[in-house]
Amino acid sequence: MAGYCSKCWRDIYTQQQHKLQQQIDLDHEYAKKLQEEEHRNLHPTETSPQVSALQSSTPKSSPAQPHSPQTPASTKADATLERSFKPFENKKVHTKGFSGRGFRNFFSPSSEHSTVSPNSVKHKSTPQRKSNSAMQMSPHQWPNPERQLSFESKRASKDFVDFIVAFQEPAAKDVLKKCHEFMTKLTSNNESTIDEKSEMVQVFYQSMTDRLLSHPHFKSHAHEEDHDKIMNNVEKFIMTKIYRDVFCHDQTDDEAEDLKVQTRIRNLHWITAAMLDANIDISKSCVSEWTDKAITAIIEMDSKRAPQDKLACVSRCSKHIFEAIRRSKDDGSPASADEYLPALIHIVLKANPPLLKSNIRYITRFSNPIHIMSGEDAYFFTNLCCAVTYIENEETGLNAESLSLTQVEFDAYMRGEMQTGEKQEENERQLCPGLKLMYKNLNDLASLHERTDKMLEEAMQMRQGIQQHSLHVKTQVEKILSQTPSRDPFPNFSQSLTYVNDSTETRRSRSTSALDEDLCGNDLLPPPLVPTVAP
Amino acid sequence: MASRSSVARANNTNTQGKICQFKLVLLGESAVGKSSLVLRFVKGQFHEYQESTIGAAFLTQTVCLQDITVKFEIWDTAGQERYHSLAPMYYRGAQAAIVVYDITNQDTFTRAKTWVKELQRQASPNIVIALAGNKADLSNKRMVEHDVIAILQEAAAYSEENGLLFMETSAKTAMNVNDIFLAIAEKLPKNEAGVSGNRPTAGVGLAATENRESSGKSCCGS
Repeated sequence: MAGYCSKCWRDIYTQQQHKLQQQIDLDHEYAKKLQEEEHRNLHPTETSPQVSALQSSTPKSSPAQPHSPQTPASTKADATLERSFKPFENKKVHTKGFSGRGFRNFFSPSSEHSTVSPNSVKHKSTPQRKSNSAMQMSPHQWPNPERQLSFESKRASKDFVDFIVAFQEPAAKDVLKKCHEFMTKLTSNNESTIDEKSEMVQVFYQSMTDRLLSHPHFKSHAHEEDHDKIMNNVEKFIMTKIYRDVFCHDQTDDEAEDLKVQTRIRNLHWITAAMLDANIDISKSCVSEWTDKAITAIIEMDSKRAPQDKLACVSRCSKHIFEAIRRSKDDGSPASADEYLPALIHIVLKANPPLLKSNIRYITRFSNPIHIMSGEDAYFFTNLCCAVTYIENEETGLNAESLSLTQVEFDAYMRGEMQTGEKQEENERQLCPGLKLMYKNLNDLASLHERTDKMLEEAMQMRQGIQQHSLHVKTQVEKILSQTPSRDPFPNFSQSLTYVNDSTETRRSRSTSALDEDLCGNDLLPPPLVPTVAP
Repeated sequence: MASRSSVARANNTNTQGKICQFKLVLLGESAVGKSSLVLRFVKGQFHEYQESTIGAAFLTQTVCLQDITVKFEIWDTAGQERYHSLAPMYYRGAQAAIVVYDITNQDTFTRAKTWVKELQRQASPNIVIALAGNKADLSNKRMVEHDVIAILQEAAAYSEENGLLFMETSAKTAMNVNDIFLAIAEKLPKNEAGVSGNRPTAGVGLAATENRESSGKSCCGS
């Protein structure tokens, strides 16, 4: 995967050589133990040709012990070597810590072997593969040193042996032998491409299935359930063992694709559930609880090795999503695919699971087809593939049009210039209660301020209105008076009106004088009647 | 109303000799009642949901014919237009498909026809396709009567033309629900025993482009 400069490469190379020596011994010891255990569990008295063949063949053919046994003297020599190489190891770990994959390995469970320095345990198989071709050595002379040291691998061996001893001897031995043969064949063949390896694994599954059906050893285990169980365990065992040789293989562009998807998802973080048509109401605490569980499950997928374990994570994630949807709805009706797929896309966007593309490709390449062709796991896995395809694809998948946004809005979101309401809500949820209260109070104050301003403005408006109104009334009256002067029965009344705003006193005096004037103009009238006293 | 006597409820799949498993996809616009149809078929439910039914997206149901037990694995698909391009990933390897439309909605029928065309073009060649006009219980209530009849006649003619199974169904009253599944079960070829272990080709619809170039990295992988 990584190209090393000559200096770093020499460091790593010497360090590996040392570790190889050390690990060969451990491998041998462990394999011996394993064989003994197997043998003890099966009938030790019976020495069928198969058993002896297995015993003699396994130490050479199994990847567990590809080297011939070492003398105790060489182990001691290794122990002294180990100390002198410590600095190199530390340096290597330091270097690897910065590369994405190395970092991951650094945190994966470390070896149980107390004799090996924990620092020396973890590193990817890549350097070994590179070294094989670089040094022109036969692959058989280059065992993969970390195989026996990985915790998962040992666990798988133990589980598989535990499982297989429950079956009768010829059947158990046969399965074990076939598996060992196959793994040796696969790991020794370093030149083959990932597709060839995938094909080899698939052919092996098929041949194993056929063998279970036809071989006389398995006559007593003719039940379909037994076959399924055996095939499941075989798959788990083999894939856990060869995981590092085939997952995110350096011949493929898996890693580049992973990064591409990861970046794309990161850019799409602003998408809300509503935009995708996903009926998930995260504001309800019972819903967000289930979505969190779903996110955890989908992220967990990367930590599993066997394809069926990875598939189980996808199924678990999906079931949590169904629960979240059901709790978002008022009537509690079960979710259909119309609701499930958008929700899954939403969860994938929220989770941004590590090495997503690599995991999907690994499952498609190496899972037993029955797991991904039919059944619930297959359905959920197909939906995950759909979700990823939809997210990746800018033309027919996730784009402005499918989110019912304009291109301008979409671009603004992509650049982070716009924030969705949900995003803001999410930010708010992360605050402590004190800050929340403060923000609430600030908000209240701001709205209060706004309302005061508004009220003042309205008061000003009202004042203006009153002034305008009085002015208006005045002009109206003047207008009417000027239009109808001849018919005015009170010619002086308008004059009196002009003083509407004057003091009452003035007004009264003026009206009195006007009355006087009127009286003066009545000379032509007959004199008023004089009251007389009747006789 | 269809009788449910011929539908085995659960766990009696071994009483008959041969068991065939088939993958059936449900296609159709959202809200035409795809999942209601399946829930009615599998659980006998409509709007009265049991706690145990979490999702209606993937369900299985067994149907007994004379001498064969047919196990349906029902894959529901998202009907929204925007997810249309993903459909081939669902119907890949499916032996049967039910294309559902809403009898009171002409648009859903138009959409159903595009699904049928797509299936005929892209799905496996001997796929059994059924057209289901759902919400038949609304036929005399909501819409102008002759519109419904027009769609019905068109759908029947279209199905005839394209060799589809056609029924008007109602998930609400259970009308024709079991019948349509039984009709499919009878039409399916039984010689190849359900899902055989045939290997999937390049990925589940994901473009498996193998770029052999190793990703360029700076010195010492850091």
